[in-house]
Amino acid sequence: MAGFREARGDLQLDKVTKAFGDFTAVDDIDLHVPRGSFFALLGPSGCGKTTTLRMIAGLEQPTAGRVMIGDTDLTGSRPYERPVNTVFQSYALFPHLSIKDNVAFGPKRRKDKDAATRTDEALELVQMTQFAGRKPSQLSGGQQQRVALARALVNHPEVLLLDEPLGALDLKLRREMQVELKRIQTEVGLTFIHVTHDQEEAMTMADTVAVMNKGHIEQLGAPAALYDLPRTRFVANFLGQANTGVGTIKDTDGDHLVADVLGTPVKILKSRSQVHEGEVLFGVRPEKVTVSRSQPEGAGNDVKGVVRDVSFLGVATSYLVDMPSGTTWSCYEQNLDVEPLDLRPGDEVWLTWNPGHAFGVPVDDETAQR
Amino acid sequence: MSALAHVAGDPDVTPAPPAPEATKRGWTAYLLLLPGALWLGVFFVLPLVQLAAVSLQSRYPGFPGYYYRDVNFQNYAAALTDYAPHFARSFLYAGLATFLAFVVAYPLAYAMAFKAGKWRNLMMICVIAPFFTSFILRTFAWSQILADEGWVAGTLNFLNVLPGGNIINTPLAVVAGLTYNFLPFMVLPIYASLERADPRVIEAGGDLYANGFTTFRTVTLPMSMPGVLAGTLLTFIPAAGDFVNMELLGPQRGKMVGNVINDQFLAIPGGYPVAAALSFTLMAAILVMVFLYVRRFGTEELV
Amino acid sequence: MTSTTTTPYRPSTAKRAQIWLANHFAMLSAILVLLYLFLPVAYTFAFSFNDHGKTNIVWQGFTWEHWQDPCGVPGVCGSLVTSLQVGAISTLVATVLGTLMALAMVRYRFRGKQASNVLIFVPMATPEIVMGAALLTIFVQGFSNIGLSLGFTTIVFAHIMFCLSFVVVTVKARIQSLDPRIEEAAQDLYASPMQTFWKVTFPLILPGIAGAAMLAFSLSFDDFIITNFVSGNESTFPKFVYVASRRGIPAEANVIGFSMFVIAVLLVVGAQGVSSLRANRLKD
Repeated sequence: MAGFREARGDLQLDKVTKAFGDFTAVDDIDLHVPRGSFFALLGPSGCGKTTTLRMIAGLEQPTAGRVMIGDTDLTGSRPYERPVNTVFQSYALFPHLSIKDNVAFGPKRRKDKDAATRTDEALELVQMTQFAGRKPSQLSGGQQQRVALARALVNHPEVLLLDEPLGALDLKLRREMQVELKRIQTEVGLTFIHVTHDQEEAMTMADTVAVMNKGHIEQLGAPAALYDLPRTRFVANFLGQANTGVGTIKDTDGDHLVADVLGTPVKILKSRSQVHEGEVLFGVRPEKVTVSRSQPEGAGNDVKGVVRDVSFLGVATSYLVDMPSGTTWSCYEQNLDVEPLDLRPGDEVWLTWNPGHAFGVPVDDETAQR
Repeated sequence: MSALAHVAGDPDVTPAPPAPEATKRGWTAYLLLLPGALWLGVFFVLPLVQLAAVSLQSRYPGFPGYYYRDVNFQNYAAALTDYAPHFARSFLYAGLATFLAFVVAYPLAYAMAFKAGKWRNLMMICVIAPFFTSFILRTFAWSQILADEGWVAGTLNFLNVLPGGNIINTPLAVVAGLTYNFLPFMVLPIYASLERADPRVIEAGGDLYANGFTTFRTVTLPMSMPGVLAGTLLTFIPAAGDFVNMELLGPQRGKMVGNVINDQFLAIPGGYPVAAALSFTLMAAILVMVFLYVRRFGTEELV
Repeated sequence: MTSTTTTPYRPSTAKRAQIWLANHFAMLSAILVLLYLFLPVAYTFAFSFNDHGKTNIVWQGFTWEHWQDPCGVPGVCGSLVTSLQVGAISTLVATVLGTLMALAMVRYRFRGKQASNVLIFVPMATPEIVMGAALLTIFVQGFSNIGLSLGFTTIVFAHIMFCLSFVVVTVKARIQSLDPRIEEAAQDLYASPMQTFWKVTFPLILPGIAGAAMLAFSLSFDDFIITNFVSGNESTFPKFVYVASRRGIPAEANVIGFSMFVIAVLLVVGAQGVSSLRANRLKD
C-alpha cells in the first residue's frame, strides 16, 4: 500500500478548524482520545460532530490544525492512507457486491494474504456468517448495520468511527445493537468514536462523552459526571432533563452561595457553581427533587408550587409542577411509600432538594465560552 | 400513525440523511469534460457560427452555388416575408401534434406507472420497440394506412365525416404522422415523473377529494408536470423542424419550413444563404419559445 | 357474518360494467395506444410478403420471395451495413465521451459548469434540420479545405455529436442516484481513486451507461434528417428507404426493417430475462 501510514496510539486533534466558505463548522477544537476507549461525540444536528468525524477519516481536510494518531501526523493524508475506518450513516454498503465481498473489500485493497480468513472471522464476530452470499438489498436494516460494522472492523483500524450507526434502526433493535457494539468494542479493544445526537445512546455506551454545540466542545467527561455537574446551560438541557431557575447571587453561607430567586433564597454549593457573582442559572435533576404536601424540616432548598399533572409510571410517579417563576418543573418520586401521596392537579405542594445536588451555570452560554 | 412510526424510529419514515454536495474540485473535471466539450465545440458550435456566416453571404450573380462573404440581411428579410406561411404551418402542425401526443400519451404513461404491475417492463419495451423499425418505413406505412383505398379513409367516408374525401396528402395526415412519430418522446418522460411520484399521495388525494377527475387535476397532473414539460419539448422541437412527414404524407403545396430548408440546401442551386437564414430563424424562434415556456412552467430539473 | 339477515349489496349489471370500466379505463386506453404504436409495424411486416410490382403500396398477393433474398435489391444491404457501422462507432465514442462529461458534471464543482450545462442542453433543443444544415455548411465551406469530404466519416462525426448530449443526460441521472457515501466508503477502505472508480463507481453506473449506449445506437441507426445533409453519396438504411420511397420502397426493405425490430426486441427481452434470472438465483 503506497502511502499507507501505520500509526498507533491515542487520537489527538490539535486546534482543528473547518470552514465551508463563511460557515465555520468546527471551531478550534482540541481533543484527546486515549487508545482503546469508547468515545462519543454528542450534539444536535449541525453542531459539527459529523464534520469532526470526517476530518478524522480524511474525507474532509481541516482548514487549520492537526489530526494525529500517536506521534504520526495524519493531516493532509487521504482516507485510504489512514489506519481509520468508518461505519457510515445509512451504512453505504456496496450494493453490487455480496456480503462477503463487502467485508473483504478492505483487506483485498491492502493485499492482505489472510483476507479470506479475516473476512470469515469478522462475519463471525457480528454473527452474519450465514448471510455471506447475499446482496445488501436482501438484508434487513439491522443486518446491514452488522455488515457495515464487520466491513470496518475486519481491517483492525487503530480508530473506528461510527457516524450515527444506529439512527436508522427501530427502538428495540437499537437497544440490542447498543449492547452488541459495547460487547464488540470490549472484545476487540479498539478506539471507537461514536457520533450521535441521542444522549441516551451516548451515555449508555461511551466511557467519555464530548458534548458539541455550534462547532465547539462544550464539555467533556464521563457520562455520570456530565449529567451530575454540567458546566453550561446547553449541556444541562441537552443531557437529560433539568429543572432550572434564574437568580442573582447575593450572599455566601459557608460553602454555599445564596442566590435570590424572586425573593426566595436558593443555596448552591460553591464548588458546583461556575459563577460566583451576579446572575446564575441554577438547576436540579428531576429525581433529586422531593415532593411533599407540607414544608419539610431541614436545611434544604424549598419552593412552593402547584401540581399541573401527575403520571403514574409504575416504578415512579412523575409530577409536573408550576413554579412561582412561571416555569414548570418535573419531578420523579420513586413509589417507595406504603401510602401514596395522592396528589391531584391544582394541589399545592412543596418541592425540596439538597443544595449539594444543585448546579450553577452562567445564564448566557456565550459569555462562558470566552 | 406516521407520527407514531417516526417516534419509534421506523426506518421507512426516518428521512434519509442529505447527500453531500458535489465537493470535488480541481483539474480532473476539465480533463473529463474536455473531449466531449471539444467535440460539441467543433461539430455543434462551430457549424452554427458558420451557418450564421452563411446566412449573411451573398450570391455571385450568374454563378449559382457560389457565394461571397457579406453582411447581407436581405436573406433574413426574404426568409421572414417569403416563408412566413411556412413558419406558421410548422408551428401550428407541431403544436397540434404535441397536444394530440400529450392526450394520447398520458393514459399510457399513467397505466404504465400505476396499473401495469408486472407488465410494466413489457409495456416499456412495447413503447420503445417500434423505434427499431426505421421511422421512414413506419411513416411510409402510414401513407398506406391513410391512403384513399385504405380502411381508415374508407370508414370515415362511409360515415361521411371526412370533408374533401381523403386524408392522405392533407395537413391532417401530416399532423397524424407527427403525432405518431414523436409519441414515445412524450410517453417516456411523463412515465418517468409519474413513476417517481408516490402512489400513496394520489390515494390520499382520492381520499380527500373522492372524485377521480379532481384528484387527477389537483394531484396527479401537477406531480407529473416536469415530465409533461420535458415531453412537450421533446415532441414539439423535432416536429417543428421535421420535413419527412410532410414529404411522405402531406400535400404538394403548403409545405413546412423544414421542407424549404431541405430543398434550398440540397435541391435548389444557390439556396444556401436564404436557407441558412431560415434555419437560424427557426432555431432562434424555438429557443425563445423553449425559454419562455420553461420560465412559465419550468422546473430546474430540465437541464 | 351477519349476512343471514341482510342481503349483500348487489349493483346492477350496467352499474358493475361502469365500475369495471372506471377501474380499467387507464389500462384499456394504454392497450389501444400500444396497438396504435404497432399498427405501422404490422403493416411493414405484412407488406414484406407482398408480391408487388413496381410500387409496394397496394396488396397484390403473398410471396416468400423477399424473405428468401433480402439483399436482392441493389443497395439495400450495403446501406444496412453502413448504418450498423455508423451506429457502432458513434455509440462507442459518444458513450465514452458522454460518460466522462457526466462524471465531471455530477461529481465536481468547477468554473464554467453552467456554461457546460448549456452546451450540453442546447443540442437537444435544436431541431435536427438546423444541425444538419449547419454541419453541411461547415463541411462544404470549411472542412473540405482540409481534405474532409462528405461521406462515412462526416456521418459518424455528426452522429457522435447529436448522441453525446443524450448520453450525458442519461448517465448523469444514474450517477446522481448514486449515494456519494458509497464511494467515500471505498476510499475509507483503502481504495485509491482509481480503484474506487473501477471497483465501485463504474459497476454501479454501468446500467446507466448501457442504457445510454442503447439510446445512442437507436438514435444513430434511425437518424435520417442530419444524415441526409452530411452523407454525400454514402447511403444509410433510412436514407436508402427515403430515396426509394419516391419510386416505391422494395419489400426487401420491409424485411430488413422488421427483422431489426425483432432482433432489438429479442435482445432487450433476453437481457431482462438474464437479469431477472440472476436476481432469482441470488434469493436462494
